[in-house]
Amino acid sequence: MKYYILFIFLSGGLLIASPCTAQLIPQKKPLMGIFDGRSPCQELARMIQEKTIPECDKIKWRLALYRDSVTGKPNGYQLWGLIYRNERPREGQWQITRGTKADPDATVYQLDLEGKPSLLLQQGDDNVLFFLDADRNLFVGNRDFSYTLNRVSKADELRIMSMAK
Amino acid sequence: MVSGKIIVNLLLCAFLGLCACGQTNTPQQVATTDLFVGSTPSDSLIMAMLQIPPGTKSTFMKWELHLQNRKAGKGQFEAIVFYGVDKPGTNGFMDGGTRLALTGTYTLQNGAAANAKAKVYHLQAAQLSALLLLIEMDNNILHFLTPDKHFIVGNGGFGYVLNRIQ
Repeated sequence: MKYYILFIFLSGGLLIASPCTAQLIPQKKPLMGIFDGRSPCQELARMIQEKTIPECDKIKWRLALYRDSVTGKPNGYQLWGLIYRNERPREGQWQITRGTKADPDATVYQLDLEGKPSLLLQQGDDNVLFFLDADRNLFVGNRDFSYTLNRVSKADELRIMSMAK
Repeated sequence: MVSGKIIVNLLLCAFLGLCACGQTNTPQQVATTDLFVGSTPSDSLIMAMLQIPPGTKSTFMKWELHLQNRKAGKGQFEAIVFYGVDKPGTNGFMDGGTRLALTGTYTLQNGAAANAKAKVYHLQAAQLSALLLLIEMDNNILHFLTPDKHFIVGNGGFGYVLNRIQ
């Protein structure tokens, strides 16, 4: 029984990479922003086809968005949040698209996950992002966790950047 | 002749009965209540908006917001807020937290800083001097706004979001 509990605890730890220890990999392109948050686990894991365990009730996220230094257009991301044993982030490209089920004019960030369905985030404003499902509906959270990411303050951003150097 | 009168009376009663039923049970007159829940940070801004004394120790809040008659765009609301210091390893508070109950009226108006067309709930609680503002992201998601109608920015633990569960 003791070993079973230990196994569950360790498995849960692997599923939740802690943004507190998530270190940016230095990039030569401008950072658009770093966004942190915690969301419920199961639905998002299912959507992006990541394995999970029934005990997983939340995911801690950190998202770093980069842009092109000349055009200002999206140019890469780093994402921490699901099964990264070495706490190495998922990296890829992102783009800006339009429209959700509720708002055809909404700005949506589409993060391409290699070999998996894209991760969709609706921009509330410059500082707040909302997770969308595959049909572009907002995910509905619960009493404890919601599906949002919040921009970290400039001071925290500088601290995180300095740790990456 | 007598049976004819009885039939007429019965028909009249049935007609009046139907009218009465129609008057009491029309969908427009049934006030529905939506329930939104969520956990938010308890930063200085939201603490001030809720008139919680400065210096009160709190790391997060749990919300339960009942909005009546949303289709009408105005109505009554009731909110139960718990705040306090988080109890490590749980989703609750040390000592159960402190309870704050709010009641009042709301109106739905257009306009937020980032989107002039956005629908924003203006909640006026009897217990508070300032309005509480919530932008409607869709039918299920509300997000708190600052008094100048910008999104309140959360942290790595919580956002300023309420989720409709009923």
